[in-house]
Amino acid sequence: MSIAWSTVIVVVMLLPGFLFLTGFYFPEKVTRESAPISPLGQLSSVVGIAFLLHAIFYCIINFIAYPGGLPFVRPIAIDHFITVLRVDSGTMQPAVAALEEMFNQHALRILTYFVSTSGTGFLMGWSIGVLIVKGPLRSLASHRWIYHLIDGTSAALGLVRAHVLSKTSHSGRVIVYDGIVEEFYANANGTINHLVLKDAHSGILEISDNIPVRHANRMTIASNDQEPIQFLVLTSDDIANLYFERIPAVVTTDAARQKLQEALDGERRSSAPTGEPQQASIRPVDTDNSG
Amino acid sequence: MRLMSRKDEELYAQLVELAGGKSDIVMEVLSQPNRRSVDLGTVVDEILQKKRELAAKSRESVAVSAASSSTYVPG
Repeated sequence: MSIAWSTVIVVVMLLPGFLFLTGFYFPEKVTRESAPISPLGQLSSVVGIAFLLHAIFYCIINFIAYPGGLPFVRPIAIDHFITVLRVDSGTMQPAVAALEEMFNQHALRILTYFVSTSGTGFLMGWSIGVLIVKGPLRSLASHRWIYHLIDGTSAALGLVRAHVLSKTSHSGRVIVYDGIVEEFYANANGTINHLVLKDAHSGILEISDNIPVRHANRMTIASNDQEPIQFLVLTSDDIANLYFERIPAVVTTDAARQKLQEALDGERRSSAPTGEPQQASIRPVDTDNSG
Repeated sequence: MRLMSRKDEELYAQLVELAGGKSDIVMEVLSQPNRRSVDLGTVVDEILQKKRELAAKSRESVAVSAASSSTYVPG
């Protein structure tokens, strides 16, 4: 009972630190392990952040909010907290009744305090995570190149093309793939975990004495280019290395979209099966000719 | 992480459809060097132009093969 109670109190007190780390990795969609640290390092950062947040909230409540006369606010009593922490030891039994009364009176305030500190921890972590992903704090990231790929994708059509050198080879010839990157995930060490390519093509790279020669002939892997669900999944087991290339962003305007729609309508009309001449050729039998 | 949003996919699919299902044409047009961004209207024009060029080439090769088969005199 003693160990369990202390553990519960410690976990609750460290909640803002845990939620800070959860928020920190929340905007990071590439890998959850981009900033790998040891479990001990992670625990120490959780403890440090939790204590910092509790100290900040303590100062705000006890030195600003309560003296300022804010309603609902009561000062944090450290002596009561110490009592709560040791409440299950044999010598503290007389204090239990007093604590019960305290919890009954201030349950909502205590709950509000922990929700506020935990929420602040999450928001702080999330803000720092966003700043790392979006740019201002990118120097903190271990593998910055990953985020460079995301930078231009907010444009109307910002595509990234990948040229993949596979590990499949035969007689000095290696299979290469290229296609539009639909998804990718990285490992903690910055290597690609897996890559999903749309409209993938395969080709051959020949390793000669002078320079590697890429054959001009490429083969589309899809049997039907217009099939919306068709992609090539490559894992790190298939990839020797890869080259990313940003395709110029396509800027759209209402007029350009209208133009595209009109061109598509024209395309659909011209490729639609023409049934009218066939219908015209089927004429009802003229029975009047018999008479 | 997704690099292509739903909006990207829709627009890209429309461009491929415009190119008659040939994603090669779209990629060739979009990957033209020496430009950082391009207007969608220009892309539409270039795709249609590319399609016309390919269709003309295809007609040309069909005409050449038809001509060569018509001049063939057996034995």
